[in-house]
Amino acid sequence: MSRFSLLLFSLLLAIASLTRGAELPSLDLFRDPEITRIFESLPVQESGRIKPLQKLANTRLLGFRARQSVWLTEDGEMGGKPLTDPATQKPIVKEGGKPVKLSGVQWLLMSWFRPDIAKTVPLFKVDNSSAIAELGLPTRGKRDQYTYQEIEPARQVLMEKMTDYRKIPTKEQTPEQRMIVQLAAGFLDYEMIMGHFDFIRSPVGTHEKELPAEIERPVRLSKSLNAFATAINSGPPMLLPWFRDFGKAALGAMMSGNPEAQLRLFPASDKADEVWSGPGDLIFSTVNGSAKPTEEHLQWLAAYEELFLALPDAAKFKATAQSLLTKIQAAAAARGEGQFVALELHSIKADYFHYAQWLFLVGFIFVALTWIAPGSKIDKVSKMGAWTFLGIATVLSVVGVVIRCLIMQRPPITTLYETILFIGASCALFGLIAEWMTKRGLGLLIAALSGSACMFLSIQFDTAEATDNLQQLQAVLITNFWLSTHVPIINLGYAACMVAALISMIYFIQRMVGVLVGGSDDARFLTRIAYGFIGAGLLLSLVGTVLGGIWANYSWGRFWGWDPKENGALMIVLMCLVILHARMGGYIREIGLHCCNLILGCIVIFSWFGVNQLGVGLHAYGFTDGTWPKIYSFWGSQMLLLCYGLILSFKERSKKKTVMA
Amino acid sequence: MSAPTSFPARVFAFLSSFGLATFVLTMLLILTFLGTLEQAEYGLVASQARYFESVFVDRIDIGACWRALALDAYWDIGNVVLPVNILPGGYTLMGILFVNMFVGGLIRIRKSPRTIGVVISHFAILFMIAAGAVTYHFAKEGILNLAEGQTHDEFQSFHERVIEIEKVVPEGQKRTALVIDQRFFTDLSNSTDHGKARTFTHESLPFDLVITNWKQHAEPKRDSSGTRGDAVDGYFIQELSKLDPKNGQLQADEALSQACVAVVKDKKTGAEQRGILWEFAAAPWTATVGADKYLINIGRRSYRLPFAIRLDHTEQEKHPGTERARRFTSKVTKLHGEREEKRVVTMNEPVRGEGYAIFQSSFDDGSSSGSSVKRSGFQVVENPSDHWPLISCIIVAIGLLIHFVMMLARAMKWNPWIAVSSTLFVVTAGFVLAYWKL
Amino acid sequence: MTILSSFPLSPRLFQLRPFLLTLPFLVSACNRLEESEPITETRELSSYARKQVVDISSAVRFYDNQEPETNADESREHPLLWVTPEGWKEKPVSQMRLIDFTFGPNDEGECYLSALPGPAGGLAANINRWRSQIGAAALTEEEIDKLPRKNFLGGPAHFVSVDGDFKGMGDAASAKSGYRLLGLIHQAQELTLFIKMTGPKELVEQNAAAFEAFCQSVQFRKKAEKIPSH
Repeated sequence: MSRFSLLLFSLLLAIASLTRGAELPSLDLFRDPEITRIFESLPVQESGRIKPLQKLANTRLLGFRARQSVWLTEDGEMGGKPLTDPATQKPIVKEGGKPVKLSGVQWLLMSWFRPDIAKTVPLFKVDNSSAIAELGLPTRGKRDQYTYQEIEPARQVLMEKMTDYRKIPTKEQTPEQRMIVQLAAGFLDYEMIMGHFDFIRSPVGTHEKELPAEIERPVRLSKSLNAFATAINSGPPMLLPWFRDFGKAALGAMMSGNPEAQLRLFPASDKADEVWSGPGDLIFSTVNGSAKPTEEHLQWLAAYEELFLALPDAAKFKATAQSLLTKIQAAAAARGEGQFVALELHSIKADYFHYAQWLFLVGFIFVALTWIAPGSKIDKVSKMGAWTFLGIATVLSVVGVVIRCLIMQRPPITTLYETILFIGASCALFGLIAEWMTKRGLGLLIAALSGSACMFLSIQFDTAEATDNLQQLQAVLITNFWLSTHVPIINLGYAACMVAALISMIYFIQRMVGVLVGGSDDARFLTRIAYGFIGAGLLLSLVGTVLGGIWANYSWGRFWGWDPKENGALMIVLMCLVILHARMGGYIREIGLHCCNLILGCIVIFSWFGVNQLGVGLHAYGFTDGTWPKIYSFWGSQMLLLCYGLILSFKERSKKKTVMA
Repeated sequence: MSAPTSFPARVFAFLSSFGLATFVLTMLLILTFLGTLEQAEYGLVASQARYFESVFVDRIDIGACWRALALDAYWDIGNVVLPVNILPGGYTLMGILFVNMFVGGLIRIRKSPRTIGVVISHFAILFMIAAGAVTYHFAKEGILNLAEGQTHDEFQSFHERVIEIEKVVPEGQKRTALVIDQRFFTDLSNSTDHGKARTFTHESLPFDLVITNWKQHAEPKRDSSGTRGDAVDGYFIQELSKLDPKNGQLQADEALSQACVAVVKDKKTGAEQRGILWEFAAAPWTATVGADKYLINIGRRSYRLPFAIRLDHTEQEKHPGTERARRFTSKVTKLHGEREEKRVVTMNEPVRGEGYAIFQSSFDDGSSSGSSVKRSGFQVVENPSDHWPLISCIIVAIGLLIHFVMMLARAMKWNPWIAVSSTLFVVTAGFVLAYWKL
Repeated sequence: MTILSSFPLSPRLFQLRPFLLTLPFLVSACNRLEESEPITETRELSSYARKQVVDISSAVRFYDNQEPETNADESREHPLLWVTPEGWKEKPVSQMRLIDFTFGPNDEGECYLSALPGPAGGLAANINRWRSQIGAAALTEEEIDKLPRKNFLGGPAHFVSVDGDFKGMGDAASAKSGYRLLGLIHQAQELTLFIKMTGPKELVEQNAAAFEAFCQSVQFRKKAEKIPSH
C-alpha cells in the first residue's frame, strides 16, 4: 500500500466518523471480557433498589425468552446455524467457527449498539403459535422463538389487538389473547431497548434540518436540552415535525414504559433526593417542565453520551465506560448506596441454586448406589460420596440464601420464591441432621430428594415470574424482628411437615416395591422418624402461626383474621394435632400414621401454594399456566399412594383376622 | 385406664377421650378448609360468621368451594348446596375442645416428668382459647378516619350497622341518640317476603318508627318515570350487585352500602312520613313531628374513646422511583380535656394507652379525591385480652420444646434435662438476640 | 371424617354417637323477633361529632347532582369522566386525543378532547392555530379577550366558532369547504385542555347541542371516598 493510499484511507475514515453512527462497532467489542465486566457491575436503580446492570439485563432477557442468555443462531439455541452480521454479511462466529453465546449484559449491549443484529435474534418466546397466526404472520412450531424482524410487519395489527384485549379482564382472556398482549408488551419493550441510544444517535430522526437554529448540531441533548424544552413548550408540540421522533428517542432513553422499571443510573449528589436520575427521566422531566436539569444532571448525560460517541473505537469506548463506572460507583458510595452491588453480581454469577440442584442430583445418585449392595464397600464409598455432595449442595443453598439476606439487608423470606429456597435448604438440612443422628441412609435420601425438588422448583418459579427475584418490602412488613422470627419459624414448620410427608411417601413406595415389610424394624424406624418430624412440624408451625398472630395483633390490632394464609397454617397445626392425638388414642398405627402424613403433605402444599391462588390475587393468571394443575398432580399422586395404603391396611387386618380365627 | 362403669364416670371418660379430641380437631380442620374456600365467593365476613363463629353450620356451598379450587375448569358441577343443620360450627367446637382439653389434657392426664411438656402446652392452649373467647365477646374494633388537623373521639365499627334517631337540639346542647342494633332490621329484606316491616318504639319519641325494605347493598335511584310504587320522595332503593364491576370479585363488607325505608308514624295523629335511609347518604333524613325535628340515619356503630385524637401530620414514604409504599407515619395528639400528649403512629408501631391501641391502617394523600388534604385511617382496638396470646405462645413453645426435646433425648439416649435446658437456653438467647438487634 | 373413617377405628370413637344426637337440642332458643320492638339502647354523641344538619333534600342526600354513567371497564384508567352524546361514535383513545368521537351519517364530523401540559404555547397561539386551520385570519389579544366563555370543568373556558375551508394539518389544496370549527380551551395551572369539533357546517349546527352537552359532562375522575367521615 502506497503512502498516498494510506493517507486517503485515513481521510475516508475521518469523514466516516464525522457522520455519526455510520460505522458500526464490531460485535466482538461487546463480548470483550473487560467491557462485559464494566457493564455488568454498573449500579442502576430499578424497582426501588440499587442493583447491578447484569441483574436488570438478565431479568429483561428472562421475560422475553425464559432464559438468561442467548445464542446468536437462527433458532436461538446452541446447535443452530450462526446468524449473519447485516453490516459485514459474515456469519457471527467465534474462534473455531462456533456460534456465539451472549450473557444478559452482552445481549443488552448488542441491543443498544448493534440494533441491526439485535433485530435478527430469536428473542420472543411464543408458547402458542395460533397467536402468531392471528397476527397474520407465518408460523413455525407450536412453541417457538421469533425475532423482532419477523414480528415487525404485523406491528400495527399487534398494537390494535393489544388495545382491544387489554380491556378484557386477565381472567377471561383466552390463551391466544394473553399471548398477544404479552408479545406486544415485549415487542414495545424491546423497541425501547434497541432505541436506548437514539437520543444521541438520531434524536429527531431525519428532521435535524427543521430544528430551531439555536439548537447546536450535531445534536447533543446534554448541551441543548433546555433549548429543546423551550422549542416544545412554545407551541402545540404535535405541530413540530420532529416531535414524534424526539418523543420516541426519549422513550428509548427511558428504556421502559413502566416508570418503575426505567433505567436510572445517575445518583444525585443530594442525599435527600432518593430517586436516581436517568437519561429518559432527565429528558422527560425537562421537556414537560416538571424539573429543570441541574448542571450535575447535564454532566451525567454528557458522560453517558460519550459512551456512544466513543464508538467504534474500542480503546476509547473501554476507557469511557470505565470512567462512567467509576463515576457512578463513587457517586453511589458518597450517598452510602450500592455497597452490595458487587455481592449481588457475585451471587448472579455463582448461581448457587443452579449448582446446588445438580449437586443434589449427584448426591441422589450416590444414595441410589448404596441400595445396590448394603453393607459392602460400594455402600460405604457411595455413602461418603452422598455425604460430600449433599453436604456441599446444602452449604451452597444456605450460602445462597444468606447472600440474598446480605444484599437486601433483611431476613431471608419475604416472597413466595424465597420460601421455596428457604424450605429447600431447611429440608436438606433436616435430612442431614436426621442422618447424622440415625445413620441409616434415610436422611441422605430426604436431603437429596427435597433439595433437588425445591431447587428445581425455585428455578422454574423464577423463570415463570421473570421479575427481579429480590423485591423491596411492602410497607406492612417493615419490621425485622417479626420478619426474622415468625416467617422463618413457620417455614421451618412447613419444611418439617414436608419431610414427614416425604418419609411416608418413601414408606409406601418401599412397601410397593417390596423392600419393606410392615411392622419390621426398618418400617418401625421410618415411622419413628416421621413421628419425630410431625412433632417438630407441630412445634414450629404452632409457634410460628401464633407468633404471626401476635405480630398482627401488635402491628395492626387483630390477632387472627381468618385470612386464607393464616387458615392454611392453622390447618397444618390441626392436622399435626389430629395425627398425634389419633396415634395416642390408638386409632392409627403404622400405616394409618403414614396415610395421615400424606394428607398432611397435601395440606402443606395447599397452604404453601394453593391459598395464594384463591384470592385471585395479582399472580393468579389464567388456568392452564397456573399453579392449580401442578397442585392437582401432586394431590393426585398422594391420593394414589393413600389408596394403596388403605388397601394395605385392609389386607393386614383381614390377615390378622384369619390368623386369629 | 379401666373401663368406667358409672354414668358420670363414663361421661368423664368420654369428655376426656382422645377420640373426642381427634374428632373435634378433624372437624375444625374441615371447617377451616371449607371456610377458607368459601371466602372466595362469600367474602371474609360471611364465611367467618358461618363457619368459624357459628354454633351450627347451616349449609355448605359445595359449588363455591369447587370453583374456589378451580376444579370447574375440569368439570363444572354448577350450584350444589349441602344443607347440614347439625354440623357443629367453630364456636361449638372450640367449646368442646376447651372442655376436652381441660378434662383430658389437664385433669385426667398422668402427671410425670414425661408429660410435663404436654400439660404445659395444654394449659397454654386453653389460655389461648380463653383469650379468643374474651376477644370475641368483649373486644371492640373499628376505624377512625381523620383528615390533617381534624380531631375526633369516636371510632366506627367495621361491620356492625345501626339505625340512630337523634332529636335536633340547639347547638351546644348535649346530644343523645337512640340506637337500634342491626339484628333488629337486617332480616327485613323484602326479596322473599314483600313488605316485611318492624315497628320500633320509645317513650321519649312522639312517633313510632317502622323500618322496611332493607337491602345489604343498594343505592337510592331517582324514579324518573314516576311509576314506581315503592318510590319515596321521588327515589327508590335500587339493589346493587355485591360483585366488584372491575374484577368480578366479591366486595368487602366495608364497601357495601345498606339502605332501607323508614316510616315515621305520629303517635297522636297517626300521620305517616316516609324517608330512605342510606349508609353513604350525605346527611341523615329529617322527620318533623309537631314542633320537633328528628334526624334518622343508618350507619356504622360508633364507639366513644376516653380521649380525643387530633391528626397533626401524616405522610407516606415510597421506595425510590416507585409507587410502592415503604412506610406510613402519622403524628397525632392525644387530648384529655386540657392535657395534650404528642404521639407518633406508624406501621407496626401503634399508640397504646388506656386500654386502647391505635394503629395506622390506611392512608390517602388526597390526590385521588382532588382535595389535596391528607387523611389517615386508624384502626382502634379495645381488647381486654390483648397480651394473652403472647403469654400463651411463650408457654406453649416452652411446653412443646420440653416435650419433643425430651422425646428426642430419650431416643438418642442423651440426658433429657441437659438437652431440654440447653435447647431452651439457645432458643431464648436467639429470641433475645433477635429482639435486641433488630 | 374422611380421615377417621378410613382407618381401623377403635370402638371408643362410637362414643361420639350420643353426643351427635344431643346436638340438635343444644340449639339456643333463638329469640323470635317481635314485630314491635322497644328501643333500649342510647348513645351520647361527642362534641366532635358532625353538626346536626336539618331538612336536607333527597337529591343532596343521594348526590343526585352528578350521575357518572360511564362504563367502568372502558374508562378504568381514563382521567376524565364524560357522557357520550347520542349518535356519536367513540374512537379508541390515542396518545394525543384523550376522547375522540366521530358523528354524522358518514362520520364526517369529528370532535375530540386533547390535553397538553402547562400553558401549551398560550391561549392566543392555540386559538389562532385553529383559525388558520380553517382559513380564518388571526385574532389580536383584545379580540380574543372578547370571545365568549363557556362554563367548563367549573371555570370559564374560551369558546371559538369559525366557519371556512378546513384544511386541518394538511395543506390548503386538500381543504374541505363549508366547514365549521367549534373549539373550547380550558387553561389551568398544570395543563391545558382542548375540545375541538369540526365538520360540515350544517352537521355541526345540528350537533351544537350535543357538543354543549358533552363539554358540560366532562369532569375529572374522582375516587372520592363515598363514606362521609364525621
